[in-house]
Amino acid sequence: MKAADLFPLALIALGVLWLLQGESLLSPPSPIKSPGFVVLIVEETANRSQLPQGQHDTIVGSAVGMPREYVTTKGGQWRVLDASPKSAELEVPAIREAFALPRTSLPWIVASNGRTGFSKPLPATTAEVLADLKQLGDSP
Amino acid sequence: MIVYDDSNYTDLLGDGKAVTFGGEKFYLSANPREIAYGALPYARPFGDAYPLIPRSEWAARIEHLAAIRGTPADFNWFPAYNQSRTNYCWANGVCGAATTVLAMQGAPHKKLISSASIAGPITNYRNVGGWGEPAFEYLLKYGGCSMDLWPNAAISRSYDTELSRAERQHLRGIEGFDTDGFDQLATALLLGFPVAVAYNWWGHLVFAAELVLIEANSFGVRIRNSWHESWGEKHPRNGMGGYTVLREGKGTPSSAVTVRAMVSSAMNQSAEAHYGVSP
Repeated sequence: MKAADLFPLALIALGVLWLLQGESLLSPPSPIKSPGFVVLIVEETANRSQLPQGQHDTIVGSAVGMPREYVTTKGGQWRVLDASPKSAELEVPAIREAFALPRTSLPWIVASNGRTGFSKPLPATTAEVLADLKQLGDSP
Repeated sequence: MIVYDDSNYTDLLGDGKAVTFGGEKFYLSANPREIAYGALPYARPFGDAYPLIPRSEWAARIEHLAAIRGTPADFNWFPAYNQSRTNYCWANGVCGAATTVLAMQGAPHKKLISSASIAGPITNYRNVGGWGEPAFEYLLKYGGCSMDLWPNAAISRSYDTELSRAERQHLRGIEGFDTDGFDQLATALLLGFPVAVAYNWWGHLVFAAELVLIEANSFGVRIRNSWHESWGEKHPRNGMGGYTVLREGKGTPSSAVTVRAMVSSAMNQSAEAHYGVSP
């Protein structure tokens, strides 16, 4: 059998693996080990007046279609916490774990569905945040 | 929308010492603050952290925040506080603001902070008036208990148990800002922070839940009282009671504390399992 003949078989094998593993072959692994749909935003509340409107909207907005409403409707955990170390010390393990991840700026968002997720600066608009979260919340 | 201003504010004063509503007497008992703005050792001046939001932006921001349900009032899932026959309005307003912050942070529990758990120890369990800032300081240092363990109007040392002491660390403040004048109050609300506001003309302390546009270029503050859920008006979006609007003149606080952040706790388990002690 020539190498070229193996190519379709390899593709099929990859496809089977993809089906078995869900999104994890292509998606980045979850930044935290705890299970469940978890979203944490860490902000310096003393700097809230410096935030662009989109970030401020993500932090305070609760209307239908806002990231907070999407996550809670999906049964996920949503937190917006001040960067003070006191903020999360009595929290559930998933939030403590997310809070402990390294951050290079504020506000920062950590999100996980237990299999995949991200830890990065909070995107500038609610639409971007929502699109990111739907990648996690809408996956089977 | 009922708006209180110089033309009708006396309707809120009762006999000057108490207001009778729904057959119950609610005492006016906030005392004038004893320390000047900027001199509180436990709360930085608001102006040190936040530049004022220009008045030219207020109307548009009010409209936008209402559209995205982003004001502190939009997180008032709980019934209005009821100080009942206590003189503890000065703690009820602070606790109402702090409970609002917990909701905005996404707290996983539905605990209401008991004002008597804070005012009781401060006053050595006497039913007396006070000013709001010591209640806020106590919330920072020791925290409060939930109404599950300490009823909101229960002035009794018997609630000061091992269990309720253990719970305090879970309902604790992190920081707040000493807040002065209507523009700072408006800025705090537009940024999404509830504010405990004291009014010497009223002899009362409540919490401010959102800035409102009354008519063109005229603003007020929607406050939430601690005289039972049926007092005042229902909120136009959240449907909860206990609100009214004070136009800028009467709505400008004599003193105020912006509650900025609270400890976030997973106290959504049974008390015994969570604290490891029995009631």
